[in-house]
Amino acid sequence: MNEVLLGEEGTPGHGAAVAGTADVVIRLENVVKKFGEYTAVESADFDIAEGEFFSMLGPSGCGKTTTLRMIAGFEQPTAGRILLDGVDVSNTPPHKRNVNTVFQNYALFPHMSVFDNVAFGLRNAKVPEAEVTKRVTDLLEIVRLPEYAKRRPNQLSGGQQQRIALARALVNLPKALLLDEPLGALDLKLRQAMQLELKRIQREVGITFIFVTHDQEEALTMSDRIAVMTQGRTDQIGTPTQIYHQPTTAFVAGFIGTANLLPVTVRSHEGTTVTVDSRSGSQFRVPSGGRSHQPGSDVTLMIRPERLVPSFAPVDGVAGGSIPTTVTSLVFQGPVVRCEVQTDMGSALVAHLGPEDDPGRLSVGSRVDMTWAYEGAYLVPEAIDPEAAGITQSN
Amino acid sequence: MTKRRISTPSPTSQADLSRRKFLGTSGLALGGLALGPALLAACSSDSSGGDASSGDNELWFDNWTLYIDKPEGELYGKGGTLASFEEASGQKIKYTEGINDNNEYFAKIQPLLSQDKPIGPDIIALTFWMAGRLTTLGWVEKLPLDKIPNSANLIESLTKPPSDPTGEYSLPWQAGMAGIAYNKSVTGRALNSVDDLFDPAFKGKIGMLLEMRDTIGLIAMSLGIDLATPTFEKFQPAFDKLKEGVDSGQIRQFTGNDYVDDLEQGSFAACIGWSGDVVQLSASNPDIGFSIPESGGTLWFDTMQIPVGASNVEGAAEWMNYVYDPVNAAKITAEVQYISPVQGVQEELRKMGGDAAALADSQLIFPDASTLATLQSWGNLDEEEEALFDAEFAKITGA
Amino acid sequence: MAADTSSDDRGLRKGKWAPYGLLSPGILWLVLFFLVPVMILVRTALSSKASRFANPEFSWQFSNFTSAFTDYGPQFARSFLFAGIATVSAILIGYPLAYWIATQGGRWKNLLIGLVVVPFFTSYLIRTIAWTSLLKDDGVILNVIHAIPFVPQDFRLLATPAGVIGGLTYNFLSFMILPIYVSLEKIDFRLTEAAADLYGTPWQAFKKVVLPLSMPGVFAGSLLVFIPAAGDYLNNRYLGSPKTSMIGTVVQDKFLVQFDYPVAAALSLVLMAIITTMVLIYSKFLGTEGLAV
Repeated sequence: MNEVLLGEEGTPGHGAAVAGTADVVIRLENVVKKFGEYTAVESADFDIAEGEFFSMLGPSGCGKTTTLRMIAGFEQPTAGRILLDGVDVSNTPPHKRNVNTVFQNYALFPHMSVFDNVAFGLRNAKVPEAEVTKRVTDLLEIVRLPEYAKRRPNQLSGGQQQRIALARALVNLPKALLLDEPLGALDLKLRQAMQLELKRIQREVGITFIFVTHDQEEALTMSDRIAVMTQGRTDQIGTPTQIYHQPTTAFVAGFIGTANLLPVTVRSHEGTTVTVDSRSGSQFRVPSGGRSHQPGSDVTLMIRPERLVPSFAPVDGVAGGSIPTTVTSLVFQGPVVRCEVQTDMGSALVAHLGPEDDPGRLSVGSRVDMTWAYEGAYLVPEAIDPEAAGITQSN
Repeated sequence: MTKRRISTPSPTSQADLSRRKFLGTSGLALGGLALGPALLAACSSDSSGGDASSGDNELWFDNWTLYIDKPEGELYGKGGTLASFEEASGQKIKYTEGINDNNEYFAKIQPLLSQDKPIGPDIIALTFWMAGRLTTLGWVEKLPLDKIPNSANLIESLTKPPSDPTGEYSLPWQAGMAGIAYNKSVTGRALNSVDDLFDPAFKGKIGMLLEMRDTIGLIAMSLGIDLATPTFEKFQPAFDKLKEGVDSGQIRQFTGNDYVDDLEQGSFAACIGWSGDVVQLSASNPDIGFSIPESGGTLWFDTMQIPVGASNVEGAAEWMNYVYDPVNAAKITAEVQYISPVQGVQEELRKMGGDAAALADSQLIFPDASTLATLQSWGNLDEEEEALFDAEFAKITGA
Repeated sequence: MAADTSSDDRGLRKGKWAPYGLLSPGILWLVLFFLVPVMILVRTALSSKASRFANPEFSWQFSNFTSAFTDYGPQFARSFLFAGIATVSAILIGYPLAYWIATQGGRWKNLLIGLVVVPFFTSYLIRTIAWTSLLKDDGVILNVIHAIPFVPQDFRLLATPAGVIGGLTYNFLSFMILPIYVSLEKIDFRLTEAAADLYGTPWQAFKKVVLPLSMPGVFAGSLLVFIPAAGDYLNNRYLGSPKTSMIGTVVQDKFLVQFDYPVAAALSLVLMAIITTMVLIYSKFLGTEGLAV
């Protein structure tokens, strides 16, 4: 399966190209899943390459888990096909698919020792016992829990259970490892440690990881590529950088990190620069982002909080625009001061101000023009409801 | 002695669990491990209700279920004879149906009576042989016969039985016969001999009663052994014959009153049964027949006795005198359809007319002299002999 | 820190007797209705009677036990055989039913479990007697069996071991279904997904995951069926024959007909001892203590 569908970078649908010429392990072709009247997955249509760390990111109910369960075989697609190594497995039962899952609750077998848990898949596959012992031992090394082989799962901590669940799946050397919110039950510190651990293990074993999460930070940290999903649709597939800096929908923009979104109308598009009108009548010049924009079309201006600075602070690069605002709140957060302001049109914006931005000069109620660099702004090719304008962020 | 209501359709409805049905099923709740301790606990406590009657000098009669005329469905309701007695005598009466089984009742009262403690009821109605046992043990009061002039109305053969030779410790309540009951649709013919029960044609279709005296009694009579002076040695051939029947598979099962169901359903071709049951059963199922075997049937009767320590001996005497009036006795007979111990009941029933009058002609309620001549009653078994009988019978029934 | 510890200790000391206080009704109950009866039982089993209707007198009469062993071997053997077969039958019938209700019952679960229990609102005796009409020689079931070729004309179910075992199985079935259902209900069925995900066929998933996890229920159910079944006498009384009598039949007769309390007590104790031993071996064999999740 060398055939890779190439499309416009960073767009949903068939644009979900796998980087380079890597082999496609899993291909979803227009997969639809309905439960009765309810459509859980409207259309999933993308490829996942061998060795890739692929995340499906979205709020609960977006269809990411259902998609994962279809890949695992726990659900059958209502329409479309799922190809594993080029073979249609849409209706193959889970035990005949060479993919393994790390469940959200780990689903470790409580009545078996850690060793037996990890050996479970190999024994079902009738692997000779000597090899089972060797592979299980190796995997317990990899997850760094070799001395726990004889314990029962309930004698392990959450993080240890997590690693055993990982070992139990990986020991089978699956074509792809499916992880369903595997870090959800861990506390923040452990979660961050496990993120790095997961990444290390993935590099070590070189197996494709398909990772489901609602935590955008987790997805950004670990993934090679991310599919952002909402309401059963895939909004965007791309690298963390693309998803963060070049969101294709307002949803993606708001879900990944924090974004200031303002409704604007395209006035003109010349070269790589688009001129837009804001609701208050100001004009801003914005990079086109490689797209062509029809004059008169409603689009959304996105400025990340770290790119928004008070007018008295130095702007990095060419100025892109400026909005008069009133400061509504200042919160000291250590490295940055979180500064919320309100535009005269009533939209709330947020800026993360570093020491160089001299936030000490601001106080609640003070008038300030917020400015940004030309390349600090980005046009999301989608209109938003003016009501929804302002700060958007997940959770 | 069992009053089976033929009008009751289901053979298993609660109300129909008549007196004999409880034979061998007592201690129902006591399964398995619980059996021993629970029984012992029951034995060592006063479970019969104490002397509740002493207060207002109420008369307490503890009897078998469905064994008197009283309003249908009212377990403790007072109508019929109970009500008319209260009216006639001014004596309050408490009537309970606490007796399910002779042995069970004995087990219940034994711990108290053996320590000379009152058990509560003033009159109890155990079967003659158990009455004999209580008499021998000295656990019953002498009856004030001078205050029961109507005892002169009793059928002579039911007074002064071997179990109470002087007739001073028990008086009969109702009587009945054990004989051969059969289902003609299975046997194809009427049976009239104990040997028919051992006919190989009916292999696995023969029932026997758990009531030892009726089963062994009928077989013994068929072997020419008389029941008046029973000894274990003399009865050994009867036990042998019964054992052979069990070993060969001829005899299917030992039952209590539930033989009626087995007989009606055809699981039994024939069995030993009680007259009263079969009178009522044959009324609705003409295939069911009853015969006193050629070699004779057993005659049994339940008695009224006053346990020692009873608080109302006077009232008890008054009650006995009342029910030995043929007019009152006839009302009870019309309802329970067993042999009344009172002379003149037949005439009273005729006077009542209707269904009651029809009963007056039944051989099974009013056996004529020739039938009575074939019947025998058990003589007294002393303690050791009875133990031997019971143990041997238990061995054969599997216990 | 030191102050904290000491205050903890004080709290501990204060509440030291509370658990015993809470337990006391239970302990009292056990002493009154288990320990005392068992001691009376032991005492009776070692007693002798001066005459048939005398009260048993304690006399270290060990011969009661030898009598229990020598005279009633067949009844003991049948008790354990019948109870054993009934227990296995109850597992074979009850497990699939409990499994089906637990996994497929959906919102009808409680109703279905209710239906399992409903027949048991009727008295045990009545249910057993009802079986006699069901299995009667000329009944529907027997007529169907007789319609099968080569079934002998005198084939019957009543008054046979099959009848007794059938009755025992039926009468105690819900005691098997309920604990199995409860243990199945507790199982996280995502574990079967995990098993399937790890190449387990549905059968393997059941055998290696669901079955072992439901063993506490099977264990509890087996005890609840086996113990009363081994001591039962009613099923033999109505569905059996003299040749299918069980030890309960003997104990009942000894107590109520023959008034041989000492031997009856000895028999009960022997039954208790054998059952206790079997239960211990069984629990060792099943090793349920490690199954607690």
